[in-house]
Amino acid sequence: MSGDETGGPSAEADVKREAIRAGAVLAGIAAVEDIDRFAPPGHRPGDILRGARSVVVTAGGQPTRGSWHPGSARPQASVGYNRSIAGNSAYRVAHYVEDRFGYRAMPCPSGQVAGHYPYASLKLMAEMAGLGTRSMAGGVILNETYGLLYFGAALTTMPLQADGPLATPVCPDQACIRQWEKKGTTPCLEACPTCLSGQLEDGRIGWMEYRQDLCFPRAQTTAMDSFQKLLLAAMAESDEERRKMIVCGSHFTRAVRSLAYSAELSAQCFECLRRCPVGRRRRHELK
Amino acid sequence: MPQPISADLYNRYRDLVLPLTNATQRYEPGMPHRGLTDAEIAAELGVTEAVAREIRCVAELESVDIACYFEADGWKEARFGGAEPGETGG
Repeated sequence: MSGDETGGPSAEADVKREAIRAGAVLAGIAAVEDIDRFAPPGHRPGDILRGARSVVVTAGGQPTRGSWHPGSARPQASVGYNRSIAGNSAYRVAHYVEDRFGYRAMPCPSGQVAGHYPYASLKLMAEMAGLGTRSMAGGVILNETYGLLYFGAALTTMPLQADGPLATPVCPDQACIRQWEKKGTTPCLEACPTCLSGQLEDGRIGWMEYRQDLCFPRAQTTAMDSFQKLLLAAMAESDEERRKMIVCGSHFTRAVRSLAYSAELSAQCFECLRRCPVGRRRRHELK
Repeated sequence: MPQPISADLYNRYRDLVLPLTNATQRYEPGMPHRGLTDAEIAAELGVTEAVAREIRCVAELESVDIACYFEADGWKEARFGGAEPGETGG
């Protein structure tokens, strides 16, 4: 649906502009058939919206440039990430597509369908929409300009011209290739050898392995898993005084506040990306 | 509505389920690596999808010691102290 007879903007440009108007910093379009080549049955766009043909992926909610320069790690963990912006812009795009073009649309649920499994991979959608590529840092999608971004998606039955995946990988950066050649490591691998391992080959990612299970306590220190584990520990504790120390202690208090206030639920660890050179120039432009 | 499963059933399959999931994720450009879905895990183990899902969800939580959550803030602050933001260290 590129362009129209009046020479007006294409439908693709129109929906992307709506995403930006709604607060996204970037938007891209992925074809469902591209996503289906990788996503397993049960986790495809068509499993969420019957007849989905396109996915409008919105990006935003990234840390401000100042957030990368906190006095300690904790403040960035508290405010570094705003989950609502990418999701809200996707929600608005979905309404816009329905109202303006008359096709069904719905936001892709951004949460988990059960346990740690998502409804669908927003990372895969972002990749197929050309918003970035997989990185050594746990497969986080890195964007050339912004580095770390968060994603939302609007699924639609509307056929839209897809942007498709980027031809050139964003990761590794030239600085990382130089470090690999000198020291056999990269800034992200060096930052978190517990969660990350991998190898660069001929200036590209040869392979990367990410231990999501080990990343959880760092990335979601006081989120749902932490709350459940502490609750279980408190319930199992027969001594009333010790039970009090668990429930009234600072960690459980923070976990409860996280659930209520919704901050600190995720993205509480930025260590693998703190030294990532992708997007660094933008971060250093400000005084 | 998901039903809790028995401890016996969970203990029988717990160690088999986690290696099949996304707990460890591998990326090699052009290679189709991914963890199995609950339906695929169920087919592999000969249980229902609902049972596979319950085992996975409990195992995901149980696999990480609670001490890791307590220690995470200290680890992050230590890392932070050793890394200048935006420097590659190369």
